[in-house]
Amino acid sequence: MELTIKELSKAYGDKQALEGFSYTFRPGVTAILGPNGAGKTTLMHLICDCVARQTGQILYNGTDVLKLGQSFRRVLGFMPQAQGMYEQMTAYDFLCYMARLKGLRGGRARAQIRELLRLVNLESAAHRRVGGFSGGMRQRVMLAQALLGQPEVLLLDEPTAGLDPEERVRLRSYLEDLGHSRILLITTHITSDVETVADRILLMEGGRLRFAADTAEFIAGCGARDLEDAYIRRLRGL
Amino acid sequence: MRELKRIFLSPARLLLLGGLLLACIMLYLAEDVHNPGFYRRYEQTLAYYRAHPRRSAAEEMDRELAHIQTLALLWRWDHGDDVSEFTAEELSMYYGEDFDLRLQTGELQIPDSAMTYLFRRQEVLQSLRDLVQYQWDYPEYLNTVHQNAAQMAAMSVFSGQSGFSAKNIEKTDRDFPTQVRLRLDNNLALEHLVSDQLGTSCLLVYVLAVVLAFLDERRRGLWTLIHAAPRGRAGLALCRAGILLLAAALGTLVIFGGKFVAISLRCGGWGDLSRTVQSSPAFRNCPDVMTVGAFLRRFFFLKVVGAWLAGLIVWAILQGVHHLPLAIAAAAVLLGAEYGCYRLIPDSYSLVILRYANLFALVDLPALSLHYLNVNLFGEPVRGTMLTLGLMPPLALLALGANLLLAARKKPVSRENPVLSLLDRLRRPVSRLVGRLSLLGQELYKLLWLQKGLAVLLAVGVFCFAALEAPYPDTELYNTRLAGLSASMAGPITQDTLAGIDEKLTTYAAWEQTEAVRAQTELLRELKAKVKQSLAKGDGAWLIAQAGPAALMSRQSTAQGRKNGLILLLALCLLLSGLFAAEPQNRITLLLRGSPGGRGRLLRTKLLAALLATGLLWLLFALGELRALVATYGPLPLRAPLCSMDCFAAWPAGISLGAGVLGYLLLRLLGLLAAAMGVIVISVLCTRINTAMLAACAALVLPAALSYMGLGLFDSLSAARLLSPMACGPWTWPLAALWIAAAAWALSRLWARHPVQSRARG
Repeated sequence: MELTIKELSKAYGDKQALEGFSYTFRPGVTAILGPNGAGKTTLMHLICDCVARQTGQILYNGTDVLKLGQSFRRVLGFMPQAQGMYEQMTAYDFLCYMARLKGLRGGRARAQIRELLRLVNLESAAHRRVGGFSGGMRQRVMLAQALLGQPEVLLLDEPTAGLDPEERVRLRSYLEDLGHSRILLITTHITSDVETVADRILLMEGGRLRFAADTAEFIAGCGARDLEDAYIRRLRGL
Repeated sequence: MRELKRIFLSPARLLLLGGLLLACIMLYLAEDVHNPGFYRRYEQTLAYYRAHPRRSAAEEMDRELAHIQTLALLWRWDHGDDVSEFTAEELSMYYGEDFDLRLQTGELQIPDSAMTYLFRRQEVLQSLRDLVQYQWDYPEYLNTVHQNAAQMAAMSVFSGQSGFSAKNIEKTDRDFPTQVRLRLDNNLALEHLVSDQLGTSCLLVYVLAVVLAFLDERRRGLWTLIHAAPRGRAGLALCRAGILLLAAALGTLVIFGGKFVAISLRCGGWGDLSRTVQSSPAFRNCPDVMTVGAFLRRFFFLKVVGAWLAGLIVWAILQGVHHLPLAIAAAAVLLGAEYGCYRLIPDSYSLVILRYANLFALVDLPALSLHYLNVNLFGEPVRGTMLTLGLMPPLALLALGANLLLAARKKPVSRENPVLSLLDRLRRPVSRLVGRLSLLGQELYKLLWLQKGLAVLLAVGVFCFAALEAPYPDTELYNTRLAGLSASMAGPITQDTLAGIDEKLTTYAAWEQTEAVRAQTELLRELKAKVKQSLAKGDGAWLIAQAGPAALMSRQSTAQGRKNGLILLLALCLLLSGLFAAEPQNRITLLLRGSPGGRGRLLRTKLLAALLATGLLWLLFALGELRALVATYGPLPLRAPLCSMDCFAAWPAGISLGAGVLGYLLLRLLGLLAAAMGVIVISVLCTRINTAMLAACAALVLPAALSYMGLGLFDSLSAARLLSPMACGPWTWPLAALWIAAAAWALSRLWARHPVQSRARG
């Protein structure tokens, strides 16, 4: 199982959002770090074909994802940065709706939804309208929908934003478990969230891939104390 | 000052005020029930008769009206109508005994154009004659009021001085004047103004929109911020109460001022403002003697104060409930209950006091004052309108105080609302049920429940089964002269039918040959010829009552048909505008597009859901119209061949009328689906539901509304025509089908666009 990206580029008018990005993602947790405007979200949008690419290829197990179409999206779980949901639906309704879109049906879907609601600690709020949820609760619903259907490729855009410390610890341990059997891409600004779970770190800046390495190498290679220190050092070119 | 600018210069509210003014004036102009040129002729005729004493004016009018009536009878005679019940006495009376001879020699032939003029003249004269008669009778009416009071007081059941009835009689006697000086003048403008209901509703809508704008901080999550600001509590509320008063004044000035000008231009002014209002029959039961000028000043003043008070009360309710949707629901329930009390309680009920102690009475007080009624207030008779007037000052103080107190004391963060907790508990089983639905079921749930489509369908259902009237039969579709006979002999055409006609002819031949019998015999012969022709053709036609089918399948684009079409199009826009626009509004497009079924499958499912909802709308309307048709014209003979109708005589015999009706209704469904595709295409192009709704209304409802208002230019642009299939040309339907296919293709292309077009983040 591998997701290969070759010379991927995308510009919005004059602004080059992504330029010649190439990398092969394999099972495990890959954290994509970078400042605002680095191209992290654009990369995620390109992978799930929510934005038209200009040049380059995205191959899943050797086949272009555009050619795979629906069969690629069937193995894809995506959690966008925006917490968009139908405000009047309950969390349970919303997950049921997303399950239908992912082709999950009947008792299997409902069992999985119940399991995910338990996992994200929303069992007691399952039948409340998501419009009344706090930011953290909405984030957990978004995470639950991304995990529906047990996807092989999981794209999580800022998954820990808005979560309280307890929830973040809980999520980290869960992501660590998930990463063993699937390709898991996480973009974040909070380096402490990925330091313990990420197998590899990609550093992006100005739409380009600046550095890619195993987490230990990323930190040790620049003589940093921790991931945050390494991130700042590498970004400053120290 | 900033709050003032925020409220009054908001484009949405400016647009709303402009739209309300436009709607008020356009609908007023469209609602004219008179012949063209009526107002000009009325003014001219009034100017002529104004100088005459009442008696001589009435006599002259009576003479002219009798003359026109006789000419009308002659004209109808000339057109072959049965006027036998009039001719013998009335025609001879006017033209003498030789009128038959004069008619035969053509000496009495009256051209149609002259008759059109005379009918219009008759309408004006009759209106003025009624006015003169009213003014003549009014002193007698006042006398009767006072005499009745004296007589009833003498009767034993009313004689007890302590009872409400006795006091009521005394009060009525005291309230009504003994004499009022009346003047013959143009009262049309005054009557149009006081009978207006739409203007009052529009004023209320504008004031409520301003009140809702006061709650913007709750909607935008700024309540805590405003509440924490030094002048964000009672000070702000006081300032807003002032703004509300200004809004009531502005709304009255724009809506009623605009209407005042429109009425004035149409009716030729307001007449002499110093005449008493009782000069108009509309004020017959109004005991307050005042001039028209004083009434107009009072009208505008009361509208402003009433609208302000109504706004203050609704604002207090909205402020009192923490949760905004719940607050709006509470206000809607109150307004519904108040409206019910205002409209539905009969005069004789003791609860009638609720009509006057009512929010709508505050806004509609000038119109309410035309109706004299004393209510029982603790055993004392109190004039209803005086009760409303008396309640105004304490209500204003109370509502203002409540608003200031709520603004000062109500905290932005509150305990969990028990109603919401209850709703959450009730939602649980529904949520479980929804979770079991297929994707189509979920889309229907979104469309009908979350986007309130069900409320639209319910409203249409109530309209269809409570207010929809049967259309008038299109008299060009069948021979109206034979309609009664055909209906009385309804059934398949056989030799027996022919025998039946012959039998009747024989019977009539034996009777005295009066005009009526001769006319009936003529009609029977005509019917016999038709029956013979049908038997010779062997098309299996029936004799049927054709009025019902001819009403359903009218070729005319009637005002009623245009109105129904307008309502259906409006319902369609409200129902389907959110179909696609809800996704970007909820910022969920990315999520949908990233899921396996979020592209082609979702598009197909959404389309299917929309078409099902449109089908439901069509079905409701079709059933409602058929119900009204059957109630008015009797059951439709659905088993009869379609060729039984005169207009379909050339059609093959194998097609039944039922199939014809079904085909007609299916064509209407095709028209509705074509309009629905228009709304859906607009929905996919918009990123907000309200924008999509406005755009769809501008594209579909506005041309239909302008066409309904009589602007012929918009007849061909109005999609409402599609809902009257017989009024459309034969190419309309292939074009409609082509449009549906093209729109479906365009939708698939638009939906296939990448949701992120010009954003760069992260």
